[in-house]
Amino acid sequence: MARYDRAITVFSPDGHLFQVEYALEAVRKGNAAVGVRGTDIVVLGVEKKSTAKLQDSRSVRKIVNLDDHIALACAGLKADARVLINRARIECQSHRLTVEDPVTVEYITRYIAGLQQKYTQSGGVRPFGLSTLIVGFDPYSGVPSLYQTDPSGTFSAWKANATGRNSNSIREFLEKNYKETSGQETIKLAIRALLEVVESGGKNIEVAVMTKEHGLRQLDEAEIDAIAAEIEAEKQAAEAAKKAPPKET
Amino acid sequence: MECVFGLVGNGFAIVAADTSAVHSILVHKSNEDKIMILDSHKLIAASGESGDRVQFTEYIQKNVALYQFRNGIPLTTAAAANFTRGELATALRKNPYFVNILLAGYDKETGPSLYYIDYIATLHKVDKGAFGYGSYFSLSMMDRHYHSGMTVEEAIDLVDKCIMEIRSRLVVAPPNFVIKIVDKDGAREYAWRESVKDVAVASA
Repeated sequence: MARYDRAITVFSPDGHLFQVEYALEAVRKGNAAVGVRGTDIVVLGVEKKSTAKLQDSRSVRKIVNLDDHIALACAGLKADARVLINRARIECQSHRLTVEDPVTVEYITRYIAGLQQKYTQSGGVRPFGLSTLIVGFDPYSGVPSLYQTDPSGTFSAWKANATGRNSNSIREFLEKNYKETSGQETIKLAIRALLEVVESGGKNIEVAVMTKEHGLRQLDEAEIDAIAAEIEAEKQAAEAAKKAPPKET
Repeated sequence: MECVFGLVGNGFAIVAADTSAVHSILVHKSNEDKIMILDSHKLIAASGESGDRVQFTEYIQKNVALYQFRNGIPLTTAAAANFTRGELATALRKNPYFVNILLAGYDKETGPSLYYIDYIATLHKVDKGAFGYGSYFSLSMMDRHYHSGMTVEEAIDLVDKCIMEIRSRLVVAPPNFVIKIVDKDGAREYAWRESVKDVAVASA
């Protein structure tokens, strides 16, 4: 196996591209990121690993916008993310310039995935070590979308998904608890999912919300704390109801 | 011929441009908007070769937007003007753009400003400026009546005086003009001054 994992351009005998798989490992070590699609809103949440005391936390933005109507969150190598995000932003403007239309979410996802794939088929380069969650509204149909890409260059659309650390447990939670929601309910679902694996509190998660009218809005710590408190209260109430069933049968 | 002019007032900048699209002796249309909204607080009024005009101003607009996404804050008017001039200068000795630009903008810190950028990449920050044959008349009008700190009403009055002068004294005067304004509330269309409307063809 050791012979087949050096170069990206070499398949192993059982059909693996080890460099791509190792890139996926890098993603699994990155911070947890979750995305949930509602009927009129899309929510992105990212785990914020404890910020150093002297660091200016505002300079570490984990959820970024690619255009007025498209946002991205990622898990994995943040430096690679900067490169991909820059290319995507240029492509968004280039598309507007050449066809006088904003990009659709699918178009820009396809572009980013294509870029990630290119680096799995060249000599002397390594794949991008990140998976992205791309959300947005289609410029004319107004339909909200959530897409995910990974280092291999595959992409697909999701109703809700997670990537990064403990993404499997988050995804399991989402599969059990997902239903079509809108507005505040969608935000709550996303935060609930993230809080499954992250310590509770506004300072440990970054949440951003995108609506058709207002574009991307980052939630501030107080807001997140309030919603987390609501969730905690609901959980307590559910526990209490389970323990003490109502007297009337 | 194409007329573009503008001036800076008290907390705002105003630009006016003719709206005729002409090819040789034919007037293609008389409601061509030559003042592009560059971003929320900037206007670019352009005159010159129509292909270059659209191509160049759209290119500047998309690059200004890209800067904002990359850096999280918008470009200042001065920065946008210098960027525009730089692009014209780079192309000048290879593939020049025949576009004259008046860039008007409002910055929170420095207030309204107007930049004169001509097709050979001259850049001047000005209080009033004009391009084209119309400039012979509008600059003279503005030299006579302009003073710093004009109100919107006074400025519109001066703009109307210039338009009147152009209409009456320029042999191939454009019939219609569009006026746009930029102030702390953003860049927006102010008014049209039409003396000839495109008549809808009655269906046979």
